[in-house]
Amino acid sequence: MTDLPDHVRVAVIGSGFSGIGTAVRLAQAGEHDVVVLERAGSVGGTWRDNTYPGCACDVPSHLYSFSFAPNPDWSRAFSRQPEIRAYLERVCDDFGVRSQLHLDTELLAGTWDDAAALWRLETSRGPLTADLLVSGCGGLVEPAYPDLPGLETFAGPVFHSARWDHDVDLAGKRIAVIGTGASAIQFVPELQPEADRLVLFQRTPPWVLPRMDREYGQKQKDLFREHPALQRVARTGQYWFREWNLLAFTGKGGLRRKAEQEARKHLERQVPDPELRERLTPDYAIGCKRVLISNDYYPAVSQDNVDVVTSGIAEVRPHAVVDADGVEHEVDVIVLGTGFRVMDIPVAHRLTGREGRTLSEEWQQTGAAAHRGTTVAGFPNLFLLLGPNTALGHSSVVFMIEAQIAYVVKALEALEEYDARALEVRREAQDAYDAQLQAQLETTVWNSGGCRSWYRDEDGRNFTLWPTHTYTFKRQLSRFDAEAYALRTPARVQEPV
Amino acid sequence: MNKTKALGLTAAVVGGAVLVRRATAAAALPVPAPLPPPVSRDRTVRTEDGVELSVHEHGEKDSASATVVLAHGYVQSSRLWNGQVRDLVDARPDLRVVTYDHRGHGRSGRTERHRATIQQLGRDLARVVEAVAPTGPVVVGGHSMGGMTVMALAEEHPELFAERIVGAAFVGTSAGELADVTYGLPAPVAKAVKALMPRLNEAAVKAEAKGKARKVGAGDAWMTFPRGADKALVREVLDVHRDCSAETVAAFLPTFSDHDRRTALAALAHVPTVVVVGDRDVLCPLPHSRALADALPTSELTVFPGVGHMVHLERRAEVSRILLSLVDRATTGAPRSLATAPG
Ligand SMILES: Cc1cc2nc3c(=O)[nH]c(=O)nc-3n(C[C@H](O)[C@H](O)[C@H](O)COP(=O)(O)OP(=O)(O)OC[C@H]3O[C@@H](n4cnc5c(N)ncnc54)[C@H](O)[C@@H]3O)c2cc1C
Repeated sequence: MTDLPDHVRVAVIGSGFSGIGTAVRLAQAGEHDVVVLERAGSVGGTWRDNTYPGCACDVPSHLYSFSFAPNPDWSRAFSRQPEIRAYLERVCDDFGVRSQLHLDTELLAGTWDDAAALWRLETSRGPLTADLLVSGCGGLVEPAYPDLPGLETFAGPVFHSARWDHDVDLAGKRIAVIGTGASAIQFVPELQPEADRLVLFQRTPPWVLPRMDREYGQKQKDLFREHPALQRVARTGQYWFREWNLLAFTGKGGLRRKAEQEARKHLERQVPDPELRERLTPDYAIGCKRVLISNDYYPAVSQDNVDVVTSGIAEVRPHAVVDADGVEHEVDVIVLGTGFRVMDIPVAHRLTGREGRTLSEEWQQTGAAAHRGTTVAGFPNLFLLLGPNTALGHSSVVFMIEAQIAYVVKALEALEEYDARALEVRREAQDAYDAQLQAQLETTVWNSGGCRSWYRDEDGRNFTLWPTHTYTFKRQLSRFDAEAYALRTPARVQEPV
Repeated sequence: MNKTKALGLTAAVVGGAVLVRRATAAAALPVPAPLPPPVSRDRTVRTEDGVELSVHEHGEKDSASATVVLAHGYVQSSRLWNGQVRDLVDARPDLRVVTYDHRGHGRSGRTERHRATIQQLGRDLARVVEAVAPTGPVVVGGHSMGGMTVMALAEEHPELFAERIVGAAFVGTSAGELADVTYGLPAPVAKAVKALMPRLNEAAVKAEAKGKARKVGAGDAWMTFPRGADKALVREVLDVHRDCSAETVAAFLPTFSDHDRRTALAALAHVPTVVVVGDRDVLCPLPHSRALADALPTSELTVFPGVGHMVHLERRAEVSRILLSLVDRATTGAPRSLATAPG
């Protein structure tokens, strides 16, 4: 692998959709002095790490891909993980990202040097400096491990869905699955047929809607290949359908009630046992937690070899999980479908701003917040892709990532236009942005739907979701709002002291 | 250097009714209660020619770790530094923060016409520094004409910048070539305006002698603020403008045309400095601050997009922050990394 340069114009951390997209767009804007630092041995982020059986996107593939790299070959409406991973690898090849890529290179620490107006980066492969730092570290990267008494005493294999242990043969095993979130709902139907028993520990049942999946035949792929415009139309249709669906989350409730009815019907059709159905019925408004889509989850959990346990977990013993009712469920393997550490992302502990505080310390005071989801007062020349309040409950975050990347490109242009070296958002501007956003979230189902979710922090402040249509975000970020910033050129020489 | 007075009239004439309408709309809004002035110890400092300058000290009285002296702009008064005074004293109670009114301005005494010069203001500042901070490190700062005053001080007393003055801030100001400024107007219009100004000023002096108040309004607002600026700030600045006499407006106007203190900046080559400007400043436009920053190798330049001449009001918190970090830079011997860019 090539050595790290001493200094670059832009250092990008992470090589998922965010990092790869940034490198491509910067190159297209004429900025080639870029490195992409990736701690793992290959690119892909989410789609490299999540290899559990059944892993797939739940936004249609034609929408869940880069606008600049349409893929006529998606095999189905909701493509599976290996295909998405291969897509990202291919984008790296097709758009020349490889030469900028430094794999097995973890960002350990980044410190803003105010006098020199640059970021000083420590990596696992040595130091470098960068004028601009773009974090594409992802929000769903660090597995969340539940704090279960006795878990460490368990005699069999224990692994998290995002760190699937493919060496463990699950055929004929008694498996405990903990969690019923977006990942579990995808792998449970895959494990159920081969398991001897599957005990599913559910804290809160998800709302589940039918999955309108389908395979694309060769004819359709050829059509998309020969007529890219048709593919764009398909993508646009999916886009607007989802923006319309948004009203179920933000609207007065009519659409939400219809969605709930549909979900209830789906449950009734697929789960004949009224007692089980009862346990699988959520007691909060649909949309408050992430809405899941599946056609095989309910049939799977209805099988005789599946137990759905809702009382909670009291402890783990070497060969069993004990539920809160005291029932001991003997199992051979524990699979954690417990999601990700969304709060307190690791990179926030590693970046130190102008005032000597880490991003995490900063956010402990203010709650996680960023201007336009991207820039933070006190952290000059730092851009957070998929930063606070940019996640979606209704559409593809790749759309959001691309809007943010456009903003980064505009910010670079502003630096050049003003012949400045550093830009920093003003706290006032950031606070005003955040206040408006929080007010908008107040009436959405995410905040008022009567549930606990990873969308909100301990204080109930929603720090993850974008409150409205994605085109609004894109429009806001299509222009660099320089008046929200201070642009600075440091002293050429430091006075002798 | 707000030639706003005379321009108030002239610009309203050339700029048309739009401006007037804007000012009227602003005037119709309810007036929010202004923040009370920061707690101050008021005193007077007598200049060499006997003018009593009104001086306000804030913060630490006897054992201040450093003294910050702030000079205001043309047709303004010390009051417009109040935001920074509050912020600085809040953040650093160990500082002594001093503001004062230039001769002919605010509550200071009147000046003879031939003493209404930037050079004289530099000498006055020397007196103020001497009086309020006989010992200890001093950081000086000036907005607009106040910044030019600091340059005049450097010209008159370069030795002070080696011994007493450890840092300087230049906010929305210029080191010279003001004759080329067009106030964002087409050059011929600007030329006409400038030709008219002295005459309008003298007319206003005569009117004032007969008891007629000088007109302050749309033109002043247009010169000092960009469109869409915070109405409360516009109002505050216009209030201060109104307090200024036609005599002062007329007396100081000529001194700007021969302000050229680029060579005087050499005295500042070894003290930390900051340069701050709004990119919509039509009185001391951005290139003037760039030239200043280029001439001052130790200066840090901050540009606020979308902001006009009153950058310390429109970006109060940030300008305060910049002053505080200047004080840090100027008074601590903390090791700093190289500022030269790698690569
Ligand atoms: C199972 C699953 C399914 C999903 N399905 C959808 C979907 O259908 N639709 C949708 O919109 N979203 C979906 N998401 C969300 C998904 O995370 C985002 O869509 C997207 O993949 C995020 O891309 P990213 O590049 O921002 O982050 P990631 O893909 O998480 O990439 C981050 C990268 O940064 C690297 N990194 C982190 N820290 C460091 C460091 N310190 N130094 C160096 N490198 C570092 C990581 O190794 C990783 O490669 C899904 C998420 C999961 C987990």
